[in-house]
Amino acid sequence: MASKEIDMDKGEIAEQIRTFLETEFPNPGVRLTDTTLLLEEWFVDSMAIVETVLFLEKRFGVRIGRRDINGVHFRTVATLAELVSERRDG
Amino acid sequence: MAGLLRNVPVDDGLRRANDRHDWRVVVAVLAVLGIYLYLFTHVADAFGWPRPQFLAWRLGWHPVHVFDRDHNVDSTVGVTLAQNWPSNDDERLVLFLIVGGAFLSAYFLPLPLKQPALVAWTGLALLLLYGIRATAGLLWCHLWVYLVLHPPSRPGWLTLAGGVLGYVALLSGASGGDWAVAALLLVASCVGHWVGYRFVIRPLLDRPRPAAWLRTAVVQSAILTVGMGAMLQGMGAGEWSLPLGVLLFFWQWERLILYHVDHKDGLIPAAVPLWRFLAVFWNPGVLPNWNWGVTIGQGYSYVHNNFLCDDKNRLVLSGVRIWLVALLYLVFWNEIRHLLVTGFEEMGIPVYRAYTREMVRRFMAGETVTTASVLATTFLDLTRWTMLWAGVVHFKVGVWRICGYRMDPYINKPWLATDLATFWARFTFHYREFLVRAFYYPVFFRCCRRRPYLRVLVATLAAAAFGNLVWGHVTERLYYRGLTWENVIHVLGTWPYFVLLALGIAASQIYLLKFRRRRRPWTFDRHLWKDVVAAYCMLQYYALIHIFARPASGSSIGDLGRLFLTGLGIRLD
Repeated sequence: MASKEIDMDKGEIAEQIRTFLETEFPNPGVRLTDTTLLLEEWFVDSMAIVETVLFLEKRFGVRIGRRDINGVHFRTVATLAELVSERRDG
Repeated sequence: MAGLLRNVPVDDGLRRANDRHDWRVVVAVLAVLGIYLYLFTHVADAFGWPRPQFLAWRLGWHPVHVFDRDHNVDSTVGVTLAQNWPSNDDERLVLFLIVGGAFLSAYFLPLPLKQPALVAWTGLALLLLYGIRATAGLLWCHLWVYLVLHPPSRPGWLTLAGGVLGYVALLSGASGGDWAVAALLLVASCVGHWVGYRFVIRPLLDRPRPAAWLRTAVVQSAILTVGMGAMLQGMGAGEWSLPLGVLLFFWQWERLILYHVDHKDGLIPAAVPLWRFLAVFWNPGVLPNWNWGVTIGQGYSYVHNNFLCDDKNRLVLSGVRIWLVALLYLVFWNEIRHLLVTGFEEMGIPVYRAYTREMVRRFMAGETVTTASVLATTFLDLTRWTMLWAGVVHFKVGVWRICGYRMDPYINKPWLATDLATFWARFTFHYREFLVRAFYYPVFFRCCRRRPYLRVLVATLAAAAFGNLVWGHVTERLYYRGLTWENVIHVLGTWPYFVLLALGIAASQIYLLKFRRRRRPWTFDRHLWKDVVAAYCMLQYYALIHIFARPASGSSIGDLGRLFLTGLGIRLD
């Protein structure tokens, strides 16, 4: 039951991240899913990363560090949601 | 626009899958390179063809500002500080032939040999264009960086090679033709390098803190050297003169800093072969106008992750396309400038040949300058050097692309930006990425975490004002104009430009954070006029603040401020 709640939380987090990315960095012709490769197919440049960090910190109250800016955490919406979820639990 | 973080590691299996040959692509590259050879060198003579200007005349086209006295196109693509050739047309001929050879090697050689071949072609170009001492000097500098950042387990041969290179670059002229002295100097150099690395550098690299300091010192050697040289000159010592090879190395200081950022962020494997390290810096794409667009290529992760990461033919054709765009700028920029200048002059608005500095000079001489004149001159100046710059940096990006790299354009339709932050990313992409990674991120992730707007402001000031001024423009001026204290003071005196630029970028970012966009800019709807107004106001602001970056003899910040305010319609006479 507990793991299901965590999964739901992650789903909600992912949904909010997806909405933010679609609104802030619209990308016509590409459908953003939880598994879309953000660094390959979505982000514009390093300032987009900064805006996403500000969003994650403000919206979810987590702390993102410079070393978190990498291809593992920023790979997909799902991995970003995973990062946020881990930080919230931690 | 792809962006720095778009590059993700690519395995060799994918690269091999991307490495398919297509003769039509090869023909396209060679054909466009042939056009460059015809327009910008004397190759027409070798084939008995008419020179470009005569061909234009035969076709009924008589431009005034396209061709030079030898009847080919007066190009801004060149080889900086080359000394071995009688004319810049000959230097360009060597450059284009080397680029052609590098392309064929990168295209047809097996995958493991492609990047080493590019390093070898670059080395050959350096030898031909700059000579053996400059080439040895550059390799000597890079070898030392490699030995410090990637200490090998058995460094013996590399340190001895460093000794030979150091001798050729710095000491070979000191023997006065005496073979015994030359041999003695060579042996002393080799022994000195081996002993210095074995007993001083290597023990330091085994201790974490001294190793970090040493790595930083090597990476920052450019600014440390030129800063010290300028200070000593200011205190009365003679002006230092940098060996050419060292100067060429220093011109890559921003990319070296990005390499170090990658190193600190763990984006570089622990053991990197020397050729793989050199492949970041020794690429034919750095050869044209060595000191322009020096950040193109960025650091290790960007270069290596973008190599053959996509279909080879698609990458190469993107290079051909950007070469064709570059061609338009290179051929027509001066003609367009003259057309624009003439048009404004005929309307009764003096625009001083589209040079802001000329306007400042006339203003200081007592000439009355109107608001329309300030706005038009600064705007045309921005247009002028955008065209001038775009021709060269597009060509450089094209060279990287035809060699198999997915390289973002340095300038990417900046006129489509409707805010200053986006403009700067479109106008000077690779340099902006350097400032973001080297200055913005370190501040952003450390300061003012509870106040996001202040956080953005401080980080932007650190990058666009401080980093841009000191690591970007002060060093550049010292390389161009000599290591003198006057040059440091001159650039520091342009600080209002950097502060106004940073404040403008920060204001754009904060505005975009505070008020989310409800529509995508340049959507064809009834709000389109707002995009036009926003784009013009942003471009005009950027053009106008350059008044502070173009001081004339005797002008103070107060004088420049008066001219700036005149541009805003405020006269303080």
